[in-house]
Amino acid sequence: MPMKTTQFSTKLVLAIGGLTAGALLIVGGILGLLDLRSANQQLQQRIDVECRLMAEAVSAAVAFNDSKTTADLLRSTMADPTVLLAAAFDEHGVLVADFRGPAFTGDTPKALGNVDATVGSTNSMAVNAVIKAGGEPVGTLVMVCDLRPLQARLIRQGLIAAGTVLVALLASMFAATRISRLLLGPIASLSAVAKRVARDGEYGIRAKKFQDDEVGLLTDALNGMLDHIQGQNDSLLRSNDDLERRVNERTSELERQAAALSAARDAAEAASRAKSDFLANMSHEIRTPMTAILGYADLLVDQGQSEEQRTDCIQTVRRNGEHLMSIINDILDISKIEAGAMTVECIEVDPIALLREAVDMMQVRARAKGLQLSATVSYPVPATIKSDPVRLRQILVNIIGNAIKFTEQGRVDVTLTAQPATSTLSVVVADSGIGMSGDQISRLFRPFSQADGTMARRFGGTGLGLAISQRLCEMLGGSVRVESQLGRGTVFTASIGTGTEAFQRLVTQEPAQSPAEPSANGRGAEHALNYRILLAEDGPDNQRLISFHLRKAGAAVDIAENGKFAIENIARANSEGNPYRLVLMDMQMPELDGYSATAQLREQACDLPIIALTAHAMAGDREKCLAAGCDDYMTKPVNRAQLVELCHKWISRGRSPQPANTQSLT
Amino acid sequence: MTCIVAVAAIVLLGAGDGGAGNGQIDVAKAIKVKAAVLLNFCRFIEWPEKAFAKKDSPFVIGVVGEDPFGPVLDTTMEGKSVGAHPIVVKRFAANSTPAQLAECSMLFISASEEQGNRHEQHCDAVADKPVLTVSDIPGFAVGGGMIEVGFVGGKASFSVNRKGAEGVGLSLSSKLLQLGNIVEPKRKPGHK
Repeated sequence: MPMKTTQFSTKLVLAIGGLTAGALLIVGGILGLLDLRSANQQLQQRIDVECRLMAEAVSAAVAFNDSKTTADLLRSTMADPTVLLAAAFDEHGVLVADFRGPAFTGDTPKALGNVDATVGSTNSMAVNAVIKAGGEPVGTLVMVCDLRPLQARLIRQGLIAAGTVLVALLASMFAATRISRLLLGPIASLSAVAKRVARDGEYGIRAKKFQDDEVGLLTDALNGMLDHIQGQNDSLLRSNDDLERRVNERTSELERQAAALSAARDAAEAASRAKSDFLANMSHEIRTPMTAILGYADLLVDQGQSEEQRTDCIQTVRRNGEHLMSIINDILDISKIEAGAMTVECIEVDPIALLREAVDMMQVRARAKGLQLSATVSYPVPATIKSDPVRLRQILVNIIGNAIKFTEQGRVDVTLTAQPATSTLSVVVADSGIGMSGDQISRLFRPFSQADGTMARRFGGTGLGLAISQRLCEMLGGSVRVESQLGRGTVFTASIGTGTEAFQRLVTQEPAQSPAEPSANGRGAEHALNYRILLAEDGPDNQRLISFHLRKAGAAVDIAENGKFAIENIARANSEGNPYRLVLMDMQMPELDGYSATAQLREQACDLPIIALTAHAMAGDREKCLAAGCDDYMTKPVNRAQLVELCHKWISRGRSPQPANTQSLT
Repeated sequence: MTCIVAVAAIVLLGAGDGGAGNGQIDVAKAIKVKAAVLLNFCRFIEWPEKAFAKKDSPFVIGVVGEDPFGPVLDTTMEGKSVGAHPIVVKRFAANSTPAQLAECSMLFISASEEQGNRHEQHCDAVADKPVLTVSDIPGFAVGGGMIEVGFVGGKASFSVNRKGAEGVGLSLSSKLLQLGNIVEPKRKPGHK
């Protein structure tokens, strides 16, 4: 049994036993005392009565002083064993006669006055009675009785009482033990259950209910509490698990995010490195043609050159200039694509003609490297597709040029095929070049990254061509794929969307060779610009070059140094009655720039066509110029034929309410 | 014959005190004891109420003949009473008439009346009346008296003619009878 319960039950047993014993002792004591007193009184009364009777009996004998008769009468008191001594004295206190019991050891007093001294002791009691005769005292009778039987009885009764108390005490303690076990057993069991719950956290156990009493109610209450705790504990455990799972999920998500961020950072760093490399490459690429241009320009300035040498110099300058131009155009293209500003047209295009044109264009470079370049059409193909001819040509030139660049010897085969199922058209360019590893292929279409950092130095080029082609293909509804093995050559497949109607009209066989179309560039020169044109331009070289081109085309050109002079010139020409028909407005000028000047002119209700000239060929420039009020847009360096064509167009057409949607790229 | 033996026994009872040393002192003591014995008789004998004229009539103790007591008897009886009746001691001459003696409740007949058997006359005089007759004349109880008082060895003894006493309506206490010697009378007084 547990310690506390033992203590409690012991307390209970002791309390009940103590109470019982106390009650018994008190009652027994009171009863004993009462009994003793009563016995004492009885004895005294009995002796008194005996004494009085005897006094009466011996009255005559004493009155007549008859000792013998008195003694005979006193002997009759022998019937009472408690009487130790009976003595009769006459009226003068002189002993008349006595009777002594066998237990009486002392001497009989001879006079009444000596009685107390003789028989006075704790073991005996003396009783007196007056002996009367005819109503008058004639003597005194003294009886001494033995108290020892009474004392013995008292002791016996005390022993009996003690035994009774002892038995009652044992019985009550036994009963108390049983009662405490009966009462405390269920409580001890409850306590054991509560202890187990507290120590081991076993919320599943339940206390046994013994009876339907208060302890039973307590048991029910404890069990109810345990139910509640168990429920809460379970839900706590569940929510703990849930929490743990969520933490794990969150952690793994964070790890994934961290990994993604790390990857993104690595990619960004790689991109940053690639850009740095690219800038370094560009610097090199731009410097190389620039060196040639400046160097040969110096040679031209030298007068001691033959005509043949000068022509060679001029051609070198022009070739390097064009190369520089192509580099800058690539940069501008990728910049536009990256900024999301690249737009494509969707017009009718003859794919076969376009392919032949591109292959013809590249034929010169292929022959220069001693390569065989062939074009094959895998009939049937659509006669026309909906696409952007300029971008398509750019893609073809890029890919074929790339193939030629990386092929030292052998051939480059270009094949045109159509896939009606996906409404796409594919151009397959297979070369017998150096090929690429898987790793190189994976980096192939990333801008600012050639297959190898050393590639740029070995083969030249910006590395932007394939990236641009890829993006353009995607914009045209297709893609560029590449298959290659090192040393085994490379196969590029460029596919584009054709539009849904393209496959309604198919070309099934090779048509008869049509004569080559005259170049568009050639036509511009035939126009005559016999008009008055204002050129707002602050750079003297450009003033000279552009005015030279315009005057050669027949125009009368005035030059304004800045925007302010341009406005003044226009106003003066109007007041003189000989107004300008067109304004060419440089955007970057001192004093008042092209944007502000154009805006002011428009505010003054000037409706002259204004064409913006700017070296800012970046994305968004065109929109900025049109927003300022310009009608069209042209980038420097200025192509003579384009300039004349554009001027002619705007002069003949006049200013339209809506800005023209014309691409101004070469 | 048994009566004689009994009397002898009573005489022997007091013999312990030893014969007559100082005669004068013995006589005085005997008188005193005898007076006390008379008082004791008053205590242990009941008289019928008709013996008294009134409830507080005196209880007369008469001494007839030569008075042996002197003042001792008066001293002993002074202030004493029997029930409501105060004790009065009277002395009668030997020639007193029966009517005079009938006044008494107890009549002590002096030894002087033995002469000429006057004591028998006195007994006869009160024979029908509730009068206790007492005397120290030897053979008094047997001879028609009621109580015969003796004195032996400093102690009193008496013989009782129970029939005679009870015959006149006196009631003798059993305690008294225990002490005394009961005798059968040979003569009945007043028989003539």
